[in-house]
Amino acid sequence: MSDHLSPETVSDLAEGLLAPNDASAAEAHLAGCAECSDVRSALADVRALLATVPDAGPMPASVADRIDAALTAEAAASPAGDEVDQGAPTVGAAAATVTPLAGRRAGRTSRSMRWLQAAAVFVVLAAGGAIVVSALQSGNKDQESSTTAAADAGAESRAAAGSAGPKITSSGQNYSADSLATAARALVAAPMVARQDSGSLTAKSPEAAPQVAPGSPSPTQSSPDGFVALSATGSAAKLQACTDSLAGGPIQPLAVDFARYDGNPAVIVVLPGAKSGQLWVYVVGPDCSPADEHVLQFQAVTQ
Amino acid sequence: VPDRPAYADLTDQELMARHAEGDADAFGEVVRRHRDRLWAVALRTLGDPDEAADAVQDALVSAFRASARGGYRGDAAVTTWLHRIVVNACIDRVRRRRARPSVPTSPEDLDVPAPGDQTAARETAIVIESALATLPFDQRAALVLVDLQGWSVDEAAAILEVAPGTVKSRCSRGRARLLPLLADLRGNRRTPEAVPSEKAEPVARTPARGEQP
Repeated sequence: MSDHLSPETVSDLAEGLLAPNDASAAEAHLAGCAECSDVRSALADVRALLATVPDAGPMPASVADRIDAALTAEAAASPAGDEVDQGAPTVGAAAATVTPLAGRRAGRTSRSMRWLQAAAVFVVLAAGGAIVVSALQSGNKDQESSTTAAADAGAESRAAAGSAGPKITSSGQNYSADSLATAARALVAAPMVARQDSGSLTAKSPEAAPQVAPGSPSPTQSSPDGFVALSATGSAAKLQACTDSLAGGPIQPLAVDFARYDGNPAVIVVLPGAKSGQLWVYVVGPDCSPADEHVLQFQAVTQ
Repeated sequence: VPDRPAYADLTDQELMARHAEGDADAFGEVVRRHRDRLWAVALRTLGDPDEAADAVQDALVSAFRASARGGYRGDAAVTTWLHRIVVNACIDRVRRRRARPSVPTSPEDLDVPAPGDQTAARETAIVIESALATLPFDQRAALVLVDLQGWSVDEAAAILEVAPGTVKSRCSRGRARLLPLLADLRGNRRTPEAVPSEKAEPVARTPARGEQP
């Protein structure tokens, strides 16, 4: 045959993909064609060149930290597995969005300690306002990311419509019976705080300033002391047991806020109400358990 | 401090079993063992650190959920299973961004190690990354696994859930498409000094087998 071999044919020959007859013909051509032989050596060079690409190196610490935090949030969001996890997660569609953590890697710590570490980040970040970490079970990540423009007036409603996961915040806010309804609506509607639009995930800028949800109550108090007291509910399992007990069955709370009530440490748990558009707002003590939920306040609120 | 299992002595499979039983730390140990290679695959496949970070995070959160429900059945090595989920997350990202123009990778975003002739290595890496970015995803993923990361064809086939022959075909066609794009680099490769020093360490390119005791 007089026509030159295509690079694809030469490449397939090298991979042993050609049928025996075709392979023989190709070899015969190569034996007498310097041009095609050059293609063969060029393909070998391509392969060798690809092998020269340096290793991508270790995962940047900022990314590793972020993933640790996402997994911690995941453990907090769905400790019981099937019951809480609605529907099979599809890769990619399931996304946990967490503020990038500048802190040290969690390392080999217990679940409650890791919870505390994640919580400690809340406390640090909460200086500027309420920070929301949410493990999205579904929803459009792109849309969520776009709502990080927290000044966007439409962000709240969009986030409320698109988010199915619990929002766990540590506002440190001191609530009262009068402010509870408004606060609950704001907690549920608060847009998630997602990563910065660009750059914050790389090792170069891990300490991006957190976005602040404008609709969230601004914290009047976010002292570390207050949070340590609340950490009695520290384990995700305890929190889940508490909310399940409140709801009378396994349920994903719409929002959880580690805060204060009438000046005392308390956890605000917002559950879906009995009918659409209704929120059930529980205020429980930090020692909430199925045996004693320690309910300080309950209100049914129109969303 | 409660008693803590000696995770270092456990295989990946044992850790996954503990995770399914509710051990909150077991999955984190699995992640620590494999995240660097998962990161490398995502970064080379997507070519963008932000996208790669999102993809790996999506994948690991999905893996966390799935395996907590017994979704890891032990019929593949854990690292193969994790790679599969990461590659699928990368595909998902590529599909989602298809409508958008691709963002060119800037030199700063490429994690080229310091040793060796950094400038030459970086330039080479940039050209190769750019060339890889022009390939269809299937060809790119196959080449990243086999030619860049050093997985065997059979291992790559297990990750991609295709026949070994399909992996070979994708690699073959991918290399043929890269041929004109990498022509300028061929001269470099023949000069030993221009080859980044990392190439002298094939061990670092060989995927470890963390799950095998």
